[in-house]
Amino acid sequence: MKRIAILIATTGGPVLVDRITVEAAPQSMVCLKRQSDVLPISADYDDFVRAGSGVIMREFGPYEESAFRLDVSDPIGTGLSWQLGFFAAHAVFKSDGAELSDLENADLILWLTGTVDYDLKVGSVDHVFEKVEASALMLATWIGKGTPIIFGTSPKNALFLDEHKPPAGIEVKSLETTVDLLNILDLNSKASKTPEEIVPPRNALSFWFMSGLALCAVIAIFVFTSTKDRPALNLALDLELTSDRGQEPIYHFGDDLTLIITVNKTAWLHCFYQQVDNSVLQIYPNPQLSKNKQAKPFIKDVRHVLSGANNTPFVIRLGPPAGKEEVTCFASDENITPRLPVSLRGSVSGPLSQKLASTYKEKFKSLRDVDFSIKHLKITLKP
Amino acid sequence: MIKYTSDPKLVKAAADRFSDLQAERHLMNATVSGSFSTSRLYHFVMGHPDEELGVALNHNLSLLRTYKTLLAQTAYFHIPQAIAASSEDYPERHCNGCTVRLQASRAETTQLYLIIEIKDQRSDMPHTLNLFLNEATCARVTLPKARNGIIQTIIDVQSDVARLLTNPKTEIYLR
Repeated sequence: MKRIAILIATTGGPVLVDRITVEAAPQSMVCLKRQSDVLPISADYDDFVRAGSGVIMREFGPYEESAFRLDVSDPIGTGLSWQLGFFAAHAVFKSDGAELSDLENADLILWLTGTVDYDLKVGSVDHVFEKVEASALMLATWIGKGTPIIFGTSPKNALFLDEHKPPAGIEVKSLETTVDLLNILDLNSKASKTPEEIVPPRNALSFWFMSGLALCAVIAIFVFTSTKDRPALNLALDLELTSDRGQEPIYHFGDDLTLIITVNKTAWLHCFYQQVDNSVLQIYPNPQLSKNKQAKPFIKDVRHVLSGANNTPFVIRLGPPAGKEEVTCFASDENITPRLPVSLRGSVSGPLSQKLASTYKEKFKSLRDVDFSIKHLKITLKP
Repeated sequence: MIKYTSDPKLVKAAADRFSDLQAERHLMNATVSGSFSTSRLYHFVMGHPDEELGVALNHNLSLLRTYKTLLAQTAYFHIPQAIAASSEDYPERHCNGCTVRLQASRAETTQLYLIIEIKDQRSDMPHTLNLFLNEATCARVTLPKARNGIIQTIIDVQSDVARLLTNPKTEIYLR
């Protein structure tokens, strides 16, 4: 279950959508902090929900009742820029694979601003700069903690945000319509993946990583589709490999390694971990993954989180010996697994043979007619 | 680390002193019903905010009687005492053209929806709900704007308004 925190961007600061409750009342209302304070935007929210005038019931209904109570963390004054955020909140509320979350427990933070018209087109809003400024302090905290953050807004507002180069950790998504938003959140698909569907329980796994103590769990966590306004068909494949602690991370024994991967085109991935003693382990794909489901391509322009927190794809728990280690990832524009030696297909446990450990990179590079991107991540491991 | 402590005896003494000061101020500024002009009271009935008058209604019985008389003359709807008590937790009260009811909130058990449904399409929708139980008990709620003939807000279960609305002997005026 994806836990998504939805922030409504306002000039007074970001406002968290706390919860949505179906109510047996005639009108939908927006309330403050679960109290009886009813916000003045309630009338507009009721219009936004109501079948006929609004889109919520039409897109997500029917429900057993015709009204909702939506609680928020802070006041929202006037205007309609909350519509995109409220639409996302209702999409999450309706979804079986996701739930509204607070910031502390969120797998993903959505910062949204924009209107939504009857045709689901996302409209531009004013004061975006002020909204970003008012959110900066809060967002900095969660960037520091490694929670992925997506800014979602209209193409015009997204262009403005892109031009101001948001810091690493924030991804700007241009939304023509709410369909783009739902695709990013993977809320349209019935085949929405959850770790439970694909991987056996963690304590039943016996992944060999880290002196036999590491566990393995499973696949990609945030599977979002790309935005429509970013043509990538003619670009060379580019892989971005980083960690939750940056490009030169320092970990200590017992820490979970979190890899963050982004590709600019749909790509297949193979990742290897070179330990201090020069032994090499294949960490993606791996035997646990192929046992349950074949590796899938990585979708473009999405932050794929491999390993790390409780609900993320891999768990790689680091242990002795201390020293400099390295992750190497190969992204390819086609599924090259069948063309690789069996011991590089991710179906064999344990370190690669010494010979293969010294030559596996060449095996990849020798494949013809394949567009590759290769990236390394140096890791310092301390007691 | 800085740690603040307070002497409970000192806190009690301060609370008593502030209470005395407030009582003194109230006595010094005490007014009789005659100090509020009829026009001022009329404006309040018509919906103009008047905090001082609103407070005075809570402890000035003659003013409250006058207020109720004016309200009775000008109210859009009047729901008299119910003939019999209802077995429901939140009984519906109604008169010709108007229904007042409470609805439990699923989200918060300590809160209720106050729902007023006006059957006629009319331009002058009520903006206050006035509840009277016997001569001395009154509660007043400023209502949000009506939408599609419905006025809806949220009240606390423990509030005077909720308590009075569940009492069949409560008279309701909508103005």
